Amino acid sequence: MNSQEERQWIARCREGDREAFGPIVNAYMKRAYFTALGMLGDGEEAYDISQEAFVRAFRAIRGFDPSSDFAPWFFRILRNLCLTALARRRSRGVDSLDEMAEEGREPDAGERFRPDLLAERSEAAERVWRGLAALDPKSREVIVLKDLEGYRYREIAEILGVPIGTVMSRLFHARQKLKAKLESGEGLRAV
Amino acid sequence: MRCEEFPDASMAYLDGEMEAEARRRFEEHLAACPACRAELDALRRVKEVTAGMRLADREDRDWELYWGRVYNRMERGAGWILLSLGAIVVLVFGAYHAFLSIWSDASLPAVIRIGIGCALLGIVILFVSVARQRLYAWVRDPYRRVQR
Repeated sequence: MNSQEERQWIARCREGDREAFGPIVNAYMKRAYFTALGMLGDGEEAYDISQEAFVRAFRAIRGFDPSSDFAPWFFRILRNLCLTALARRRSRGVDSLDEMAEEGREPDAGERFRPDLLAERSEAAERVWRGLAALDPKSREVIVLKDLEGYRYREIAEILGVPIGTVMSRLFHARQKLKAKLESGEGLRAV
Repeated sequence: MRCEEFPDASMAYLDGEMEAEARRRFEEHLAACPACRAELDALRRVKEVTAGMRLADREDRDWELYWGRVYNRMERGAGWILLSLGAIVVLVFGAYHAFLSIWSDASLPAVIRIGIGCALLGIVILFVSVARQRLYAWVRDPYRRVQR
């Protein structure tokens, strides 16, 4: 779908046409799922939350500025739902990734960030996956958006609602933290 | 370029988001600064391993059903909102009239009427208590400013 077609579908959605949202959902569903998966490390939760993000986006579509890009606006909704889900884990009394990261503990691989969520399983990939899991959410999200999903800085800045300089700064610190996690394991050289 | 500029500059350099002139100045600095060069190499390896990692796809059936599930949620969401609103209006209206008719019924013993009044007051207290708890949790929610 090109941007012209996307704008036409969105214009119909803004008039309340639910069916017109189908092509938009089909165009973004996989990116939405993988972004949520990188944030949450749980396939079923990512599948569910990515769908909920589309529902929320449709409900709010009249507030969307049709002259701007849909993707950053939508992924901001998705990102916020992921943060809410992470906060909910904390409120349920389950150890959150933040807490585990602060305490220097690895997440329970048996529950989330399981190795079978990787397309190609290798010792190196599993170590990076665990390293990502051990990061705080803000560090993890910027790495997911940049390295796993391939967004440009401008897009990440729009999704996170911060200046590009902040994106670069967060990315630098996130990569440093990840480097430290990997080095504290068996060493980055082995990766 | 100075070492203090390394954090942002190194990211823009590694991610290919640096202008040609800034890139030239950054490379000049790297040639003269072994510490920044070593740090850049380490960060490059981190980027390579994360960018090379791929997450497993779901079964085709999950994607075939995806839009239908989203559509159902959209449709049912509107249904639930309308149903809830309607139910609240009907319940409040019914409860108000039931209370008035019982309260004004002189044939009922005073103790029954007082009991019903207490029960209603209890419901109001519980409702206010739950609403206050929710408000307290919302105020303390670190993500409450997040736009949805």
